[in-house]
Amino acid sequence: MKLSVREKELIDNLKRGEIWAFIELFNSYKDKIYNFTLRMTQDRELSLDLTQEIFLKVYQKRKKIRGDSNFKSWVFTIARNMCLNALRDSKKQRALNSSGKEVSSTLFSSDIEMKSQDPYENFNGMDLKAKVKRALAGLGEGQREVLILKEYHGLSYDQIAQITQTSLASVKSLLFRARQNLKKIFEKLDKKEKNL
Amino acid sequence: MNCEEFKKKISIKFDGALSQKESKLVEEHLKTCSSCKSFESSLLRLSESLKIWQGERLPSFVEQRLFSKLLEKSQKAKIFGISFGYYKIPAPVAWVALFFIAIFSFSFTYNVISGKKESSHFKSLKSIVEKQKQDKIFITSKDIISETTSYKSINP
Repeated sequence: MKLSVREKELIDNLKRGEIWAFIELFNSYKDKIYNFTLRMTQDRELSLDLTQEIFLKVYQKRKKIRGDSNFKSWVFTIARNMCLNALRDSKKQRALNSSGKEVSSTLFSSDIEMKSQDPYENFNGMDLKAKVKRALAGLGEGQREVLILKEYHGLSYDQIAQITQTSLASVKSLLFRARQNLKKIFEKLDKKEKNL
Repeated sequence: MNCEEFKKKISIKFDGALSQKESKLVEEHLKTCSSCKSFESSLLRLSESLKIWQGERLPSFVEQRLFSKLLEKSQKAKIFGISFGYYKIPAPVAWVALFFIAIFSFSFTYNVISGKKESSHFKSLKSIVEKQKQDKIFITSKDIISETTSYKSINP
């Protein structure tokens, strides 16, 4: 995907440290990055902090943007790496705390029975949005990230491979498995809902 | 090709990334396989279900927080680094340079204030000038060198 003239101009200016160029790029990407972090972590507070940190990093590392590279992929790569680090830290934290008192974490676990973020949401009579959240939570990190990048952000296989630092073949395979698993999880959730 | 492989191709086809040749193969298979046909229709349903979780706007306070943090960082950079337009001296280099400038300034000021005795080299040059005044002769650089050497041998 080629850069638009405007985006190229903005990136050149950003590399020179022009704050107005940063503001313009921030305004174009802030919601995309925020929603990506929100869907990856399913923790609003964490995703707000992450979005801020991601853009701080974008500004600090602005000189590393390659002229010919895709800015969107570059920003999403930073976002993806920071999300994974945050999720790993939170898993470590939970593992440390697991022996003690119960931690009311809203972050992902591979277990789809995890506690819901919204206290008013429960499994019985769960709305569709909550069901989607729970289904996504049931996927592994690798499958979840490719599915989010494809379904919500419409990125190409090449861009996803670049962001996730994997091959094109693995992206195709991960996406296929993610869809298969998501289908199974939805079926499982529907079954449970009917039983309740 | 078995059904599992066909399903993988169906997933790629759904994203519009399958070649024409392979697409034709998949379409042929779909005519006869109900399991793959059901998988194909489920992909659209899944995609539509995912779209239910719509995007949100980033709250404005995050933007304010980000820009105040950026400002804070740029002010710190001004304190700890020296900028010359586009070029910037990194903070460690700036601090080392500042350290040497401070030492030089201190020793210079100390010597001026305390009226420290002149250095031997300066003394020898002074004696040459005195001699020049007395003898009213033109002294060459060779004389200065020989005079300095002889002075140093007398006053080591």
